[in-house]
Amino acid sequence: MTSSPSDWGRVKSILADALERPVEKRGAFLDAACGTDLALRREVEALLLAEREEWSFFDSPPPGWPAPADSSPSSAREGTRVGPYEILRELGHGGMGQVYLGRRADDAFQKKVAIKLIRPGMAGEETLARFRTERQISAALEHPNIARLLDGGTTDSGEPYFVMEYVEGENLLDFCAGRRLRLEERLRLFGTICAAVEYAHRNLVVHRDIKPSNILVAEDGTPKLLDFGIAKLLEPDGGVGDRTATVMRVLTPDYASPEQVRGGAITTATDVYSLGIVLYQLLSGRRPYHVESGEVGELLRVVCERDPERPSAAAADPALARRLRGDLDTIVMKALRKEPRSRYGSVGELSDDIRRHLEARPVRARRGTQGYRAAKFVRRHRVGLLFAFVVVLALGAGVAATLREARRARLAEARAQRRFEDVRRMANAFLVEFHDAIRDLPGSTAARQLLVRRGLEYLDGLSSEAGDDPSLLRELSEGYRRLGELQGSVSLGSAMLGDMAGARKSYEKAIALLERLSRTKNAVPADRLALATLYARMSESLGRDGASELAAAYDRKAVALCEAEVATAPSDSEAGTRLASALVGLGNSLRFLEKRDEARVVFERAAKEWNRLAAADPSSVRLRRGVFVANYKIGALLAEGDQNEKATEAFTRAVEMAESLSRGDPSNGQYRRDLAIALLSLGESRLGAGDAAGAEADCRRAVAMLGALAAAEPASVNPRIWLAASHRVAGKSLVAEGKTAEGRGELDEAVSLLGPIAASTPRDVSATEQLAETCKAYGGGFGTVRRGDVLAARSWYLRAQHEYSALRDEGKLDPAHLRLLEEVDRRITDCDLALSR
Amino acid sequence: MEKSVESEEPARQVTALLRDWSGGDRAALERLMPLVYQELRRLAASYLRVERPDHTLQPTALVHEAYLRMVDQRGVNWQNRAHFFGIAAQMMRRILVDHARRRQAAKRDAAALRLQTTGEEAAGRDPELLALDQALCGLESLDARQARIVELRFFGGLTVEETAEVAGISPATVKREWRTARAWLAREIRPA
Repeated sequence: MTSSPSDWGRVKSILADALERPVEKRGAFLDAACGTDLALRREVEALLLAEREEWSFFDSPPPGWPAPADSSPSSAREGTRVGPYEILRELGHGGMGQVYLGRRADDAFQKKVAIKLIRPGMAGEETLARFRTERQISAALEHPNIARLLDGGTTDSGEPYFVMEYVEGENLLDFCAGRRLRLEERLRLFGTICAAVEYAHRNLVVHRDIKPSNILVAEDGTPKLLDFGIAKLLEPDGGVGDRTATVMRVLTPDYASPEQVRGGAITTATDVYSLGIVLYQLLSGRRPYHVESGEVGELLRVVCERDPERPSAAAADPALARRLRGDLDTIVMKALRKEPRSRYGSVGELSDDIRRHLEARPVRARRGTQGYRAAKFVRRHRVGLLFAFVVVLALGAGVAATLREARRARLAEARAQRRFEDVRRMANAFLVEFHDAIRDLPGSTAARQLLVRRGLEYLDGLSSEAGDDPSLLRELSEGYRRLGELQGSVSLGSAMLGDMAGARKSYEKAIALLERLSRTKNAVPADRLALATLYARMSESLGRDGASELAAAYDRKAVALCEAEVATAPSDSEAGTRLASALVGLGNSLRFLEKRDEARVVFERAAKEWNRLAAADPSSVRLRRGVFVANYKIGALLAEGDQNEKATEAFTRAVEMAESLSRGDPSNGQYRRDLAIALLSLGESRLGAGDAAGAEADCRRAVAMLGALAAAEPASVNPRIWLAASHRVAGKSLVAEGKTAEGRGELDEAVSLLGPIAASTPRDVSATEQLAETCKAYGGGFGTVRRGDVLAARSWYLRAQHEYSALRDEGKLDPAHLRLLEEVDRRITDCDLALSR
Repeated sequence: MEKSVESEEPARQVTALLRDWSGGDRAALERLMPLVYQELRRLAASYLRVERPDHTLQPTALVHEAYLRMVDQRGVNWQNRAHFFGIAAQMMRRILVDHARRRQAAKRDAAALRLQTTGEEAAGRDPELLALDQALCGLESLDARQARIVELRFFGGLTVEETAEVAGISPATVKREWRTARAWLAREIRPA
């Protein structure tokens, strides 16, 4: 038995270390750790044994409370009277209370009703008063798909109750599952439900608690909505906290909208959201969120911040997933937007889109995208196009065979050449145009894979016939390059190939062909530049997989090739451009290898090359943007090496170039983005160099530009991350200037922008890094004199540490950024030291 | 009408106190404690009255509800939240143990009178809970910080990170302490 704190300290330390080892290695470890102290060893062994025993106490929550003594079993209610109604039997119970089947005792027709008894404490006097005034409104809803609210009052013992039309049927999900309804049938049923909700909205009644169990479907397939207007009656007018708690008790957390959880304004958009959740389940068979009953903290986070998986991703059946991808995904996701204003403007718009989808017309949620409309056309004419696709495949094989035949039969070379031209033309259409045409089609992944596979077979077949024919070698090399680009492309759509290893194999084949060509006297400068481009592609692909050493080797080959070209033809701007690009590629790879000095030298060479070219052709925006890029990269490297004065110079040059480009073409989004990011970086390096006021000014400009950009592109994440970064640096600058309160305001902006992005799955790396940096900056904004300040700073540092560690543990922390984590650790230690003083 | 005044005022007050305390104001904690404790007791009591037999209330759910009732979500950050749960954890332990004691006593009386008591299921773990409380007192005398970590994790339902925030140590240390504490408590409680 452990007797004193110091004993326990020793035991605990050895126990903790032992627990971290696998069971079979613990014996040896204890030999070493306990030595001859047998009492110590026995103690640790006993604890290890206790730990290994199945002892589940901690794995379940602490015991709860007993059932109340006064809860009468439901059967006891049978036959009793509730107002003028007689209770027949219990139908069910939920968060609000029990529901009974009843009938009006004085009714000659014995019409059945549903009586909802509200749990005591759920509704007070005011609720009933409100019920009396609102009853008229809700009871006025007369619609074939809405169960009527008939009556309400209090029992003799003071329990409030509502009386509704009794609907015999199954709940929506059970009905669909039981009848094995097809997708189209489910969508039509959903449309009917939407129409009912729309009707209520026109009569100014919001349901607020739409969920499958509130939608009953009768035997004949008629759906009916229950409980219209009841949720509202049960919501108190009190404070926000109170209202949120109500969501937990009254509403079903899995179906509650963000505004309900936060206590915001409830509008018809709330019902749009709940309908979205119902549709999600109806289509995918899963719930978009699952909120564990006890975890209300989770509720806030899950409902208000996390984006649900698309229904297609949630669907278990691949065929169903394919069917959901595209329109239906988009419709559901639009209904489920966190921000009420971003959802469908009305239930009518939602059901309209469902109808459009059923008729294979473009849905409004996706309106305006060219590719989408084209894909919609293709879908409507799917059979015809599929046929064309098959013909293309057959032709490809046929022509290749013809070519071989032609050779073997020693037919005229010209004829074979003509055939080859056909094949080549087709290869373009086949590999690129067709691929692009079907890329956004739902479920086209398999077709695209087939396309790539057939393309490869076909190119491999031709390669074996190629011989030394220079134009054939070039064509084939280009074919492999295109194929590699397809394989490696990570498209923005849900379907992607992204086969990097496959892409590299194709690039290798393309390279081998051109290398073979360049060894002959037939090679022309363009071949060598094409080869350099291929090396650069290889490097990009390798770099993406983290093979930076190999990537750098390919970059060096590309640089060497281009240098030789520039040396023989200095005025060839194409060769110069390739050289500069290759240098930038090499610089990137070196930076990843943490060879910062070498990388800087390479970027400086690139800048020199771009400058030289731009001086010769000042009108070329492409060359001037090259100058911008190189200077920006130099600045970034210097800033990473804490050489902030020099970085400021480089960023100043980058800002000047971006400003001049943007002035020349004010509507160009790329230049504006360049400028905003360069300003942000300039601000950061200025702050590092001690010029807080200058930094503040730069960042304020960046905030304004990026704010507009983020607003213009609400769907893309990066502008928001950059905007947050600008707020962060502005905040740090303000703190450095002594304007602490203003600075914290900026930092708060950054945290609230980044939090939701960083928490997404998979983790957004740059948002998480930015968040960690912001937390660090926040910590730095507190003083070191007051104990409270140190504690507050420390907790912000802890959060920064947590974010960085999460990235590191997932292997996603840029090695160059490890020092940031170390810095946070140091700051925490500093705080601890300050606290212990 | 009276109700809305009541529920709104403390929410603002508690939120402000929570922020002050997270910012280092000890006096704020002194004022916060009784408010939270009162609310938890009130909630526990109301659940005792109305909860159905098939719904066993989980204390962590109760802490969450107290949090949602008392704190304006928009005015606090996650650290504030963790600190709130930190206070609640301690109180939750007290409330639970009190209940278990009373229930045990009622059971003894009932046995003597041959009556049936309600809530048999939940009460089934009472002896274990009381043993845990006693063992925790033992651990407190050996290592107060470690006992506090158990309190936060088990009675407050805090995650490792939240516990780290409240206890002011790293998450790695929390994990280490939690694991060794479990071993120690398991040995203490389990009948030999």
